[in-house]
Amino acid sequence: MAETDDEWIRPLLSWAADKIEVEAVGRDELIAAGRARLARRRVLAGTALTAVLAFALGGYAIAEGVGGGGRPGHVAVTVSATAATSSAAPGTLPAPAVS
Amino acid sequence: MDRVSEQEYCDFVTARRGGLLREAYLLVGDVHLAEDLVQTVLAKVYVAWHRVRASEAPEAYVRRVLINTNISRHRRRRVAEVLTDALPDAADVAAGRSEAPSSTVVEALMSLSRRQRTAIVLRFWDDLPESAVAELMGCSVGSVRTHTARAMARLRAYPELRQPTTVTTMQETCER
Repeated sequence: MAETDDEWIRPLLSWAADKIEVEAVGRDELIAAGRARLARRRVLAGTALTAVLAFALGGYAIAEGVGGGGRPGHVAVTVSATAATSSAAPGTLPAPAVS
Repeated sequence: MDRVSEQEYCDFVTARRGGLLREAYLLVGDVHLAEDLVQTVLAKVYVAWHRVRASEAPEAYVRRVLINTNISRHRRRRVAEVLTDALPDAADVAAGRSEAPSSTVVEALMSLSRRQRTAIVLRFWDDLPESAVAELMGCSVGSVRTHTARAMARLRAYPELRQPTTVTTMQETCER
Protein backbone atom coordinates (compact mmCIF):
# COMPACT_ATOMS: atom_id res chain seq x y z
CA MET A 1 0.00 0.00 0.00
CA ALA A 2 0.97 3.66 -0.12
CA GLU A 3 3.53 5.14 2.21
CA THR A 4 2.02 6.91 5.19
CA ASP A 5 3.70 10.20 4.17
CA ASP A 6 1.79 10.17 0.91
CA GLU A 7 -1.65 9.70 2.40
CA TRP A 8 -2.34 13.45 2.49
CA ILE A 9 -3.07 13.46 -1.26
CA ARG A 10 -5.87 10.93 -0.97
CA PRO A 11 -8.60 13.22 0.50
CA LEU A 12 -7.58 16.03 -1.85
CA LEU A 13 -8.09 13.79 -4.88
CA SER A 14 -11.44 12.60 -3.59
CA TRP A 15 -12.52 16.12 -2.88
CA ALA A 16 -11.46 17.42 -6.32
CA ALA A 17 -13.19 14.51 -8.05
CA ASP A 18 -16.36 14.94 -6.03
CA LYS A 19 -16.71 18.46 -7.40
CA ILE A 20 -17.88 16.88 -10.64
CA GLU A 21 -21.62 16.75 -10.78
CA VAL A 22 -22.89 13.68 -12.54
CA GLU A 23 -26.24 14.11 -14.20
CA ALA A 24 -28.54 11.14 -14.33
CA VAL A 25 -28.80 9.78 -17.84
CA GLY A 26 -31.84 7.89 -19.03
CA ARG A 27 -31.61 4.50 -20.69
CA ASP A 28 -32.73 5.72 -24.12
CA GLU A 29 -30.42 8.71 -23.95
CA LEU A 30 -27.55 6.43 -23.02
CA ILE A 31 -28.16 4.03 -25.90
CA ALA A 32 -28.65 6.88 -28.38
CA ALA A 33 -25.39 8.56 -27.33
CA GLY A 34 -23.50 5.28 -27.62
CA ARG A 35 -24.91 4.51 -31.05
CA ALA A 36 -24.18 8.03 -32.30
CA ARG A 37 -20.59 7.72 -31.17
CA LEU A 38 -20.23 4.30 -32.75
CA ALA A 39 -21.61 5.65 -36.02
CA ARG A 40 -19.09 8.52 -35.90
CA ARG A 41 -16.26 6.06 -35.29
CA ARG A 42 -17.39 3.99 -38.28
CA VAL A 43 -17.43 7.09 -40.50
CA LEU A 44 -13.92 8.00 -39.32
CA ALA A 45 -12.74 4.44 -39.91
CA GLY A 46 -14.32 4.48 -43.38
CA THR A 47 -12.61 7.78 -44.20
CA ALA A 48 -9.26 6.43 -43.04
CA LEU A 49 -9.74 3.25 -45.09
CA THR A 50 -10.62 5.30 -48.17
CA ALA A 51 -7.50 7.41 -47.70
CA VAL A 52 -5.32 4.30 -47.37
CA LEU A 53 -6.88 2.73 -50.47
CA ALA A 54 -6.43 5.94 -52.46
CA PHE A 55 -2.81 6.15 -51.35
CA ALA A 56 -2.20 2.51 -52.29
CA LEU A 57 -3.93 2.93 -55.63
CA GLY A 58 -1.88 6.07 -56.29
CA GLY A 59 1.32 4.19 -55.49
CA TYR A 60 0.27 1.37 -57.82
CA ALA A 61 -0.52 3.86 -60.56
CA ILE A 62 2.90 5.48 -60.24
CA ALA A 63 4.73 2.16 -60.10
CA GLU A 64 2.91 0.69 -63.10
CA GLY A 65 2.70 3.89 -65.07
CA VAL A 66 -1.04 3.62 -65.50
CA GLY A 67 -3.26 6.65 -65.50
CA GLY A 68 -2.53 10.13 -66.77
CA GLY A 69 0.80 11.74 -65.85
CA GLY A 70 2.39 8.60 -64.50
CA ARG A 71 5.91 9.25 -65.76
CA PRO A 72 8.93 8.07 -63.78
CA GLY A 73 10.05 10.73 -61.31
CA HIS A 74 6.70 12.47 -61.34
CA VAL A 75 4.00 12.02 -58.77
CA ALA A 76 0.51 11.65 -60.14
CA VAL A 77 -1.60 13.79 -57.88
CA THR A 78 -4.91 12.51 -59.15
CA VAL A 79 -5.74 8.97 -60.07
CA SER A 80 -8.36 8.27 -62.64
CA ALA A 81 -10.45 5.34 -61.55
CA THR A 82 -11.57 4.94 -65.16
CA ALA A 83 -8.01 4.64 -66.38
CA ALA A 84 -7.05 2.29 -63.60
CA THR A 85 -9.94 -0.05 -64.18
CA SER A 86 -10.28 0.13 -67.97
CA SER A 87 -8.68 -2.30 -70.33
CA ALA A 88 -6.55 0.47 -71.87
CA ALA A 89 -2.89 -0.31 -72.31
CA PRO A 90 -0.52 1.08 -69.65
CA GLY A 91 0.48 4.65 -70.31
CA THR A 92 -2.48 5.41 -72.54
CA LEU A 93 -5.74 7.07 -71.78
CA PRO A 94 -9.00 5.34 -72.64
CA ALA A 95 -10.75 6.67 -75.67
CA PRO A 96 -13.87 8.66 -74.87
CA ALA A 97 -17.06 6.81 -75.48
CA VAL A 98 -18.82 7.97 -78.62
CA SER A 99 -22.50 7.45 -78.90
CA MET B 1 -26.94 -7.04 -28.44
CA ASP B 2 -30.06 -8.69 -27.08
CA ARG B 3 -32.53 -7.06 -24.74
CA VAL B 4 -31.17 -8.67 -21.55
CA SER B 5 -27.56 -7.74 -22.31
CA GLU B 6 -28.59 -4.20 -23.15
CA GLN B 7 -30.38 -3.89 -19.84
CA GLU B 8 -27.32 -5.23 -18.01
CA TYR B 9 -25.13 -2.76 -19.86
CA CYS B 10 -27.45 0.10 -18.90
CA ASP B 11 -27.48 -0.99 -15.26
CA PHE B 12 -23.69 -1.19 -15.22
CA VAL B 13 -23.29 2.22 -16.82
CA THR B 14 -25.86 3.82 -14.53
CA ALA B 15 -23.99 2.49 -11.52
CA ARG B 16 -20.45 3.21 -12.72
CA ARG B 17 -20.70 6.29 -14.93
CA GLY B 18 -20.18 8.73 -12.08
CA GLY B 19 -17.03 6.99 -10.89
CA LEU B 20 -15.67 6.76 -14.41
CA LEU B 21 -16.36 10.43 -15.03
CA ARG B 22 -14.57 11.46 -11.84
CA GLU B 23 -11.60 9.25 -12.60
CA ALA B 24 -11.45 10.60 -16.16
CA TYR B 25 -11.57 14.15 -14.76
CA LEU B 26 -8.56 13.49 -12.57
CA LEU B 27 -6.74 12.01 -15.55
CA VAL B 28 -7.46 14.78 -18.07
CA GLY B 29 -8.21 17.80 -15.85
CA ASP B 30 -11.16 19.04 -17.87
CA VAL B 31 -14.83 18.21 -17.42
CA HIS B 32 -15.68 18.22 -21.12
CA LEU B 33 -12.66 16.15 -22.08
CA ALA B 34 -13.54 13.76 -19.28
CA GLU B 35 -17.12 13.39 -20.58
CA ASP B 36 -15.79 12.80 -24.07
CA LEU B 37 -13.35 10.19 -22.79
CA VAL B 38 -16.04 8.40 -20.80
CA GLN B 39 -18.41 8.38 -23.78
CA THR B 40 -15.70 6.81 -25.93
CA VAL B 41 -15.03 4.22 -23.23
CA LEU B 42 -18.71 3.40 -22.90
CA ALA B 43 -19.04 2.97 -26.67
CA LYS B 44 -16.11 0.54 -26.63
CA VAL B 45 -17.59 -1.29 -23.68
CA TYR B 46 -20.94 -1.49 -25.47
CA VAL B 47 -19.32 -3.23 -28.44
CA ALA B 48 -17.36 -5.62 -26.20
CA TRP B 49 -20.07 -6.09 -23.60
CA HIS B 50 -20.11 -9.88 -23.97
CA ARG B 51 -16.39 -9.93 -23.05
CA VAL B 52 -16.87 -7.44 -20.21
CA ARG B 53 -19.73 -9.49 -18.81
CA ALA B 54 -17.75 -12.70 -19.07
CA SER B 55 -14.71 -11.24 -17.32
CA GLU B 56 -14.23 -11.90 -13.62
CA ALA B 57 -13.93 -8.21 -12.80
CA PRO B 58 -15.95 -6.02 -15.18
CA GLU B 59 -14.93 -2.85 -13.35
CA ALA B 60 -11.24 -3.63 -13.80
CA TYR B 61 -11.87 -4.35 -17.48
CA VAL B 62 -13.59 -1.00 -17.97
CA ARG B 63 -10.89 0.80 -15.99
CA ARG B 64 -8.29 -0.71 -18.30
CA VAL B 65 -10.27 0.53 -21.32
CA LEU B 66 -10.34 4.00 -19.73
CA ILE B 67 -6.58 4.06 -19.13
CA ASN B 68 -5.76 2.74 -22.61
CA THR B 69 -8.19 5.09 -24.31
CA ASN B 70 -6.66 8.01 -22.47
CA ILE B 71 -3.19 6.95 -23.60
CA SER B 72 -4.42 6.58 -27.21
CA ARG B 73 -6.00 10.02 -27.00
CA HIS B 74 -2.65 11.52 -26.07
CA ARG B 75 -0.91 9.66 -28.90
CA ARG B 76 -3.41 10.88 -31.49
CA ARG B 77 -3.93 14.44 -30.38
CA ARG B 78 -1.02 15.81 -28.45
CA VAL B 79 -2.20 19.40 -28.85
CA ALA B 80 -5.76 18.72 -27.71
CA GLU B 81 -4.94 19.36 -24.05
CA VAL B 82 -4.23 22.98 -23.29
CA LEU B 83 -2.80 23.83 -19.90
CA THR B 84 -3.60 27.24 -18.50
CA ASP B 85 -2.43 29.08 -15.41
CA ALA B 86 -5.95 29.53 -14.10
CA LEU B 87 -8.38 26.71 -14.60
CA PRO B 88 -11.99 27.81 -14.92
CA ASP B 89 -14.07 26.71 -12.00
CA ALA B 90 -17.38 28.48 -12.36
CA ALA B 91 -18.88 27.62 -9.00
CA ASP B 92 -15.88 28.80 -7.00
CA VAL B 93 -15.35 31.95 -9.04
CA ALA B 94 -18.98 32.83 -8.44
CA ALA B 95 -18.46 32.31 -4.74
CA GLY B 96 -15.45 34.65 -4.81
CA ARG B 97 -12.86 31.93 -4.29
CA SER B 98 -10.86 31.76 -7.49
CA GLU B 99 -8.00 30.12 -5.57
CA ALA B 100 -10.18 27.18 -4.75
CA PRO B 101 -8.31 24.10 -3.57
CA SER B 102 -9.98 21.92 -6.20
CA SER B 103 -8.45 24.05 -8.95
CA THR B 104 -5.10 23.83 -7.24
CA VAL B 105 -5.36 20.06 -6.97
CA VAL B 106 -6.24 19.70 -10.64
CA GLU B 107 -3.57 22.19 -11.65
CA ALA B 108 -1.00 20.26 -9.65
CA LEU B 109 -2.13 17.00 -11.23
CA MET B 110 -1.87 18.47 -14.72
CA SER B 111 1.71 19.52 -14.02
CA LEU B 112 2.62 15.83 -13.77
CA SER B 113 3.50 13.67 -16.74
CA ARG B 114 0.70 11.48 -18.05
CA ARG B 115 2.16 8.32 -16.56
CA GLN B 116 2.86 9.98 -13.21
CA ARG B 117 -0.72 11.26 -13.10
CA THR B 118 -2.11 7.87 -14.02
CA ALA B 119 -0.05 6.21 -11.29
CA ILE B 120 -1.22 8.75 -8.69
CA VAL B 121 -4.89 8.43 -9.63
CA LEU B 122 -4.83 4.64 -9.67
CA ARG B 123 -2.85 4.41 -6.42
CA PHE B 124 -4.56 7.05 -4.32
CA TRP B 125 -7.98 7.52 -5.83
CA ASP B 126 -8.77 3.98 -6.95
CA ASP B 127 -6.74 2.67 -4.02
CA LEU B 128 -5.18 -0.08 -6.12
CA PRO B 129 -2.07 -1.95 -5.03
CA GLU B 130 1.16 -1.32 -6.92
CA SER B 131 0.94 -4.66 -8.71
CA ALA B 132 -2.52 -3.84 -10.10
CA VAL B 133 -1.36 -0.37 -11.15
CA ALA B 134 1.65 -1.91 -12.90
CA GLU B 135 -0.58 -4.34 -14.76
CA LEU B 136 -2.98 -1.59 -15.83
CA MET B 137 -0.17 0.69 -16.96
CA GLY B 138 1.73 -2.12 -18.66
CA CYS B 139 4.94 -1.55 -16.74
CA SER B 140 6.85 -3.01 -13.81
CA VAL B 141 6.09 -2.45 -10.14
CA GLY B 142 9.43 -0.65 -9.89
CA SER B 143 8.33 1.81 -12.58
CA VAL B 144 5.10 2.44 -10.71
CA ARG B 145 7.09 3.21 -7.55
CA THR B 146 9.34 5.58 -9.48
CA HIS B 147 6.40 7.37 -11.11
CA THR B 148 4.60 7.65 -7.79
CA ALA B 149 7.65 8.92 -5.91
CA ARG B 150 8.46 11.55 -8.54
CA ALA B 151 4.85 12.63 -8.76
CA MET B 152 4.55 12.97 -4.98
CA ALA B 153 7.78 14.98 -4.87
CA ARG B 154 6.33 17.31 -7.47
CA LEU B 155 2.98 17.60 -5.68
CA ARG B 156 4.76 18.45 -2.43
CA ALA B 157 6.22 21.45 -4.24
CA TYR B 158 2.71 22.94 -4.23
CA PRO B 159 2.53 24.53 -0.79
CA GLU B 160 -1.16 25.40 -1.34
CA LEU B 161 -2.00 21.72 -1.27
CA ARG B 162 -0.59 21.23 2.21
CA GLN B 163 -1.62 24.51 3.78
CA PRO B 164 -4.06 24.25 6.68
CA THR B 165 -6.45 26.65 4.89
CA THR B 166 -6.81 24.19 2.06
CA VAL B 167 -7.74 21.41 4.42
CA THR B 168 -10.08 23.68 6.38
CA THR B 169 -11.89 24.84 3.25
CA MET B 170 -12.10 21.25 2.10
CA GLN B 171 -13.61 20.12 5.39
CA GLU B 172 -16.08 23.01 5.42
CA THR B 173 -17.25 22.11 1.95
CA CYS B 174 -17.59 18.47 2.87
CA GLU B 175 -19.65 19.33 5.93
CA ARG B 176 -22.03 21.48 3.92
